[in-house]
Amino acid sequence: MKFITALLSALFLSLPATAQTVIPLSQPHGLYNAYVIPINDRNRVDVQLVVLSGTNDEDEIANIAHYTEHLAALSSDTAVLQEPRQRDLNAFTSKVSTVYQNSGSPGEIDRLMQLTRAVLDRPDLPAGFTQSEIDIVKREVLYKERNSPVRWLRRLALQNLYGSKTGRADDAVSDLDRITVDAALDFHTKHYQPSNAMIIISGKITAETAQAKLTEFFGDTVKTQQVPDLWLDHHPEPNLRSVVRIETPRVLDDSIAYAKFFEFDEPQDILAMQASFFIASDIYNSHLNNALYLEGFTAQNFSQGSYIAIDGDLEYTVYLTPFQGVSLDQALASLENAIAEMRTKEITPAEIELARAKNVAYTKSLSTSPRAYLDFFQNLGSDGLPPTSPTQFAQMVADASDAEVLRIIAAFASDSPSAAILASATEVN
Amino acid sequence: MSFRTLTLGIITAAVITTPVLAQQRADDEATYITTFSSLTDGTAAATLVWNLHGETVAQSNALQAFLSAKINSGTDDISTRESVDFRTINAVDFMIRATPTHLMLTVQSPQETFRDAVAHLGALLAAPGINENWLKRQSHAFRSISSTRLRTPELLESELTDYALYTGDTPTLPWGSMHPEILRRPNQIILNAKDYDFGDTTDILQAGLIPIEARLNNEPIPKRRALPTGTIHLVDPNATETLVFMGRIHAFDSVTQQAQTDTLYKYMGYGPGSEMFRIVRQERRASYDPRSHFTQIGEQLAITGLSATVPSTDWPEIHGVIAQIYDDARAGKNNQQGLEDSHNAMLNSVIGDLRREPDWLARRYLELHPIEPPKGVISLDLLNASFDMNPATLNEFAKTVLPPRDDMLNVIIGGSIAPSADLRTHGFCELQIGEPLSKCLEALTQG
Repeated sequence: MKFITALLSALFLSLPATAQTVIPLSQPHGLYNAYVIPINDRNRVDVQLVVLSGTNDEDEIANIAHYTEHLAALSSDTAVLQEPRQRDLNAFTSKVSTVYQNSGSPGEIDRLMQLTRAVLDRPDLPAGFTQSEIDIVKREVLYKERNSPVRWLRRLALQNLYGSKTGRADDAVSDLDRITVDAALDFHTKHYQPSNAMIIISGKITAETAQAKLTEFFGDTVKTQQVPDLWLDHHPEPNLRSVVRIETPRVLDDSIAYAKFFEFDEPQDILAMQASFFIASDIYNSHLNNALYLEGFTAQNFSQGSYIAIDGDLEYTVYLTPFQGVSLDQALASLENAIAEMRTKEITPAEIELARAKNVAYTKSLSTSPRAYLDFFQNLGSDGLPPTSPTQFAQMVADASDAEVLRIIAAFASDSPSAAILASATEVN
Repeated sequence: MSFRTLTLGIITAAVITTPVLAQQRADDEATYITTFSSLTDGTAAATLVWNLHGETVAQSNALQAFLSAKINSGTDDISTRESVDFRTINAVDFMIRATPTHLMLTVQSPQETFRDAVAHLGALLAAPGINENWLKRQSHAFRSISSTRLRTPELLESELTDYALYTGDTPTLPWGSMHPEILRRPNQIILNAKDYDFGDTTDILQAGLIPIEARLNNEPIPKRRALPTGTIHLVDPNATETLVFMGRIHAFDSVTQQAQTDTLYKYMGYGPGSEMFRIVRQERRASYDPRSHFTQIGEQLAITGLSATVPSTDWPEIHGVIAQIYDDARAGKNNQQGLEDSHNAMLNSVIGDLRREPDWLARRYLELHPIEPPKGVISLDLLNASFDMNPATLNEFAKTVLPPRDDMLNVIIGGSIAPSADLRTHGFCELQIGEPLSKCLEALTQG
């Protein structure tokens, strides 16, 4: 490892050049929370409204959170600009949140705040337009499905893992014809409450101005009860090991979608765990990548994802296409063996330091792109946690304890519920 | 190894605040070195260029797969894991690209780590042998995927471009013959960084590589061909969505005409302010991804077109809407503010490519100087033409800039509604599921 470690000391010195401090606003009014992140070297201001509900919060019909996002954004445009902008929506829906972003020059702050505030108002659009926006949502879902067939397989794996098609899993394509305007308006009424939303104002703006603008545009909002995340109680069967085989022409190559769930005995403090989680997942990802892809030849393609919920529940997903000559069953066995081997593998301090360095490098790269650092700000915010700037995250990475990193890796490797879809690719008929 | 140095001049455009300085050093052992300074994001880049004539897509894919396997599989001294980690923590990017005349490898990183990045790449290239498993993996990764299978406009554009550019039938070189073709001293190295001393970068990149006359360098350069006109329809009664495309390979009379065409296509289908977005998506509610295509694929040469994925039941109607958008643009019925916005979008795209995409500038340069640098000034006239173009007068020229729709190819993928007689006037070919697009392209070409 001489080749790598020689560079580490230099990397730790090269933290993001522009310090970005996250400042909580003292008076968030009815909002769950409000923050300002002054960034003076760019002549722009970004206002992100994070509604703390996403696809996991949908009751019965998939895509309702997504459709509501369209309606709220378009309605906000109509209310403030008098007509819908000819633009794609600067909004997106994730598992746990729906994020709206309005950007402009510092002189446009009033309009940005108006657009943001209007998202929380009940959508008001012409009936025909509202109805036909369902078609756009359908086209969008199918577009994403076409560009990434893996979405479908991953969805199947999660449905089998959780034994459900709602909550932590969904049935996005099958439910396309079940979307209704009323369901979206009900979702808006229930979830688009000020106390279920966080605002992050970043860019060329002072904390004082941000607070004044928040008071001007959100001063009439009042605190209400937070909307509970019911899906957090949604857990797999304890001893589940589901393996389902299918044949399909929808994928080009034989493929495995795999999902694994781990729940700590006690709810975890995710805020304290976040940097350790990034380091730990980097380490186990690297080990599995070595074993199955870089140095072993089990996989032609191998991608991994890890998600940690606000209570510390860990969801790990894999998409793998076997290397030529490797069967789906062999590939699954190799994957499960590689995970199990993490239970006894010695993780050296040097390895942890390397993972720290990679995360610092990643953080540094975020500082150069507004799109990247805005995503970073709201990433933790989407769970209702205080947002984190790249600068703060770099410090958190540096401070994360080795013991906590090892505890998370042990949890990942433990024998826990899993579900796999083994898809044999067939010709199109 | 000795270099002689001369200053070649300036590639510039009046509106660019940072002139793109070009400096050339010619190596008497046949590697030409050219330096640009267009990157303004604090990075440095080097593009290694091997003159290799790929007559077929299969040959082009094989060359890229071989080079990719070489730089991804580590060496006896550097494991693949160490290589990946090195690239991650130093923000090093490798990019491979092939054209019918060149194989290109670009390394780009922040200036502070560039020297280490170059040393790393040099070590990978100079290592003996090649990992057979990585070669298998990358051969699979670089295979062509049929646009009739996944049905995305990007795949369709790529397949049509390949059909136009790769027109030979020379058998693909066996793997055993590939090594000396690629792992030799490159014919050109194109450097790019602003305010950066490249020092002995080119020596490091070439250490361990020897000059060998490549076999593919002597193969003929394939002549390009136009796309046929007419309509191709892949029939799929079970599909609920249909990809509609109309386009062509567009050879421009001048760089000014190229810039004008680019602007008009941006007007028609680039982004939320475009006609495709406004009409097809917002008014007709028919597509999530209506767009235009304008991709430069050679000197004064681009693939151009309009596309949208629409409900299969509606494709003939929406095809008509898209055709009307094109006809209106050609008739000069274009909103002046929209043209100015589109011109700005085109300029922003060019400036963005110059400032951040060394591979883009290398390709534009190689289209003009494929063998060696010129003796005089390096001049990318396209840049000046892009800035000089006047959107205020574009409506006057639209009819001469955009060809009649009869000159275009229509590709309809999915659905069971047959194309109208009007769409069949200039040729028609029906594809069945599983059949390659090339079957119909050839049939229509032969008439």
